[in-house]
Amino acid sequence: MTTNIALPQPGEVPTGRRRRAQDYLQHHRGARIVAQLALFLVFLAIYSMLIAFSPSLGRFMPTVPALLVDGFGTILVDPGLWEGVGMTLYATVLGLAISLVLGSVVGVLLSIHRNAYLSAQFVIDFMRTIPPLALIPVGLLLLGPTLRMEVTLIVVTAVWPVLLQVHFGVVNIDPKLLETARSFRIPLWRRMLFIMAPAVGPSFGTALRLSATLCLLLAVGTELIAGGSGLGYLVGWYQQAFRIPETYATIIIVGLLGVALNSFIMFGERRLLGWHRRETKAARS
Amino acid sequence: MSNVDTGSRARRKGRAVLSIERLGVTFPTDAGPKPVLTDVSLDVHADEFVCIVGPSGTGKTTLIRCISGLAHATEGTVRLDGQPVTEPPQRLALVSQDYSRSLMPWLRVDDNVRLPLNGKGIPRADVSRRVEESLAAVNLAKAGRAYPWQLSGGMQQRVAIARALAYQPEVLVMDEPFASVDAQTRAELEDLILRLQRQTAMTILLVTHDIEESVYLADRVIVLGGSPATIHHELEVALGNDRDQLTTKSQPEFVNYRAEVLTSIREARAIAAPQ
Repeated sequence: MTTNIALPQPGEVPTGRRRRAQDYLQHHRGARIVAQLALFLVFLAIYSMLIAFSPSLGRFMPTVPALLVDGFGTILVDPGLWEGVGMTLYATVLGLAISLVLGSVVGVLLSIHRNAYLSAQFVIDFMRTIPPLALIPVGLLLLGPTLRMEVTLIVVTAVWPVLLQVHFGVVNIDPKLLETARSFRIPLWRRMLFIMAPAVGPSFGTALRLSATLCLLLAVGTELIAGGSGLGYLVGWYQQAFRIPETYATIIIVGLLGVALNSFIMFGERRLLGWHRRETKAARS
Repeated sequence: MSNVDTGSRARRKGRAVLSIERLGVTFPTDAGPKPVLTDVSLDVHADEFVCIVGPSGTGKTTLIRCISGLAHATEGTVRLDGQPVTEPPQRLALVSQDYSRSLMPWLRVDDNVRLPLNGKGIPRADVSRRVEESLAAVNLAKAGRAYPWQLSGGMQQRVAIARALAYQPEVLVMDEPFASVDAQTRAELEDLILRLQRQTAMTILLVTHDIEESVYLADRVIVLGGSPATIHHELEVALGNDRDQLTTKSQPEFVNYRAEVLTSIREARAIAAPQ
């Protein structure tokens, strides 16, 4: 016999009306957008007040209208901006793609035997903790301010989270799943494709998100320090030309690019890994 | 000893489908080799329902893993249709206790059932028919498009059973299949598996720690015991073809069988842990 006695748990989620109020924004997209916009306006107001009350800050921070008119008004009609967006995006995506492939391959290889990972552990930990921007001078020396240097630096930085996530993803696949596959005589390549790959999916998704952010950071950082081309270069150029509104506007474009990249990845993740999110949710309720 | 023959089901004249000969398993441990199973010999015949019971930790699962080709015996052989089992055999399907961990969470129910059939050269139409039929056989015809984690524990275990059925095995091996569902669901699943066995004439080997369940389901109960474990006792259950949770379980024969298994398990435990 099973009984359903609901005992109040410590820290229990509120039910009824309070719960509905708490979850309101989660379930109402329109209201959520309004709330987010409102908070953004508050942020702009604080920013404007800072400039208004502190003339010294005002010298290096454009007012909102100046940002819109002199900043965006100038850069959006400049073909150089779009070229820069293209360059930065190209380097980011290329670096990300190489990192994903390379990291996945090495991550899987390191999972074949426990000793492989244990031997590689020091090199991995050492390499991934080097602040990536510190490598820019080396890259400049070796390859000059080229796209190749930019992509190399991106890969050297972004490959580690992929490698680790894929490795631990593979190692932590439930042995029960693999045993089930083996007991049904599912051939090895089908097991890899239809059981191991989807099982690693959630940790690969995490790797993708971590790496994409790193790639954009590295692309812009490299461009800013090494020059050449791209959005980072543009930010540096406007700043040296003392064109403050344009500098800020370009930085905001970089931010928007990051948001766009992230949303794109989240969209793909929702499509492909929706089962994982909902499974975790089902397990929690 | 109750051996009132109310119609023994087992057609013992048939050949042995599964034949275990002097099987022994020894695990290497830090404290030296530890024998788990020794001298286990057992013949299971076509269309027979055999239950293996024994105190927990006796090596029931180890035995099952050897039979299903997932582990290797240290001594002796396991033969299925005369062929030594060295890897998971084609004609055998395994249903384990952890239904939630044996179903792929990224696949819908019907795709989970289909998974073992894909890539085996079976025509697509046949695969779909087998998936449909086996889901219908476990009363889950309508749940095909759901994900396993959207279903209750009992339903998930039925999906695992459907997957095994669609595989069309000659021998179905179940390792404590109903251990993690509630009592009501458990009774339903027991009746389901009995009905399926009668319909398909599958040979079933089921491991359980539940004495009542073993007597209710089996044509023959094997009691495993001792350390290292071996077959401690064996009894024929002549309760006939049609069994019912209420009437079968209140039959005096049933009560006697249950007492016999219980006594035997107690003896086995006494041997395993001498005072």
